[in-house]
Amino acid sequence: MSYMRKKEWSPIIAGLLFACLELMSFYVSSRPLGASRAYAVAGSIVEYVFFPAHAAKVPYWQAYLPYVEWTMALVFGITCGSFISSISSGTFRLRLIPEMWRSSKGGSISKRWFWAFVGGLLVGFGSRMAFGCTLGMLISGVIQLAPAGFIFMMSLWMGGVFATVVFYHLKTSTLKRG
Amino acid sequence: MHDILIRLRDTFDPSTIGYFFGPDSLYGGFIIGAFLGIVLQKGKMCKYGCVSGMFRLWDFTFFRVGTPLLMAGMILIYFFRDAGAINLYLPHTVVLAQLVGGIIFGAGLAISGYCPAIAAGALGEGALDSLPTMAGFVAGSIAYAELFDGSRIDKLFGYTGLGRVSFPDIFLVFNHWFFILAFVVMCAFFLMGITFYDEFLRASFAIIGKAARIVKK
Repeated sequence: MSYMRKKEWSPIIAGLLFACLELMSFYVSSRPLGASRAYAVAGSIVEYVFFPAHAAKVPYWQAYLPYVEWTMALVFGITCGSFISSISSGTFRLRLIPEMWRSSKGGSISKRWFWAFVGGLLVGFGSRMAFGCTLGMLISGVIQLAPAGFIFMMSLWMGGVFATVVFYHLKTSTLKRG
Repeated sequence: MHDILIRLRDTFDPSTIGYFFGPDSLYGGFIIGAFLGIVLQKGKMCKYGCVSGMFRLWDFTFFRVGTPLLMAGMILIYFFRDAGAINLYLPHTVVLAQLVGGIIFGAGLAISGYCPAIAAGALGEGALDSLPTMAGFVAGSIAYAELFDGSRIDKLFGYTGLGRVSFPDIFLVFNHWFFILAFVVMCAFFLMGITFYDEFLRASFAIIGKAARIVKK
């Protein structure tokens, strides 16, 4: 129990536990971990609830039927687990803007929430195009030695560094403590 | 209004909570997710500064967690598959789709700072700006389904598809442990280098930089 009250674990311990969870997911649920499918199913549910006649005509939703599903339970579980963990270590704090954003883009709440939405839009679109997110494609793909995971890892890094340099106006990638 | 509530109730399938094992069980997903949330939060990964700092080369948490994760995960998965306990579930490899989709995904990740699993963890930790990000994920999925799926570019991407393959299938190597060994050795050196840099060299660089500034004055 004292291990739960620690603010952080060693990165290697966290990585090994993560690998055991991936194995547990394969063994218990006979499918790899994956999170972005939950949001696609949520989109399917939104369309089904508000425009049922239109949703039946979209061919993409045939693979994402509007039923509450394993990945949605996983995402809800992540939220609950993170809440329990942050409460037990005393780091839970409601906040509207992250500190690093404040230092590089200013303290405007509406600006942060707008750009968070735009970034989320790109992430949702890209994850559907690449058949998975960082959890379902990168981690689960690489550990099964699928070429998809390696290609996704490299292109994600390229796109991320390009967007960071353009969006945050970083002249050089300066090395900084903290 | 009444129709909307009835359809909302229809989205829940009661047969998914009857058991624990299997790919449809909601209990299995919830319990694995709860453990995953604890690991993500204790590993200090549910933070905007962690994801954005990775691309700025200020924060190396993801490299230091991800490398042992990939090494150990690869060994565990293939060991248990050879023992016959689990089956692999390979993702589709479509080269152009993963290239272009990965670049779009990375750009969005750098701007918003939350990937789909991290956003859920950040919400549990109290970062409320993950809510518009999650709304963005749903909106992006709808935009893909309505606008992009089945278009000409999508069909063009489809020509580069290889199916559900892994590296041992492509290179016709009959023993996958060669790949795993090469990858693990590479990862071990990377992990040693990045840990050494993060723990020791960065502090010494900072001290040298401060000393140089004092000398200049």
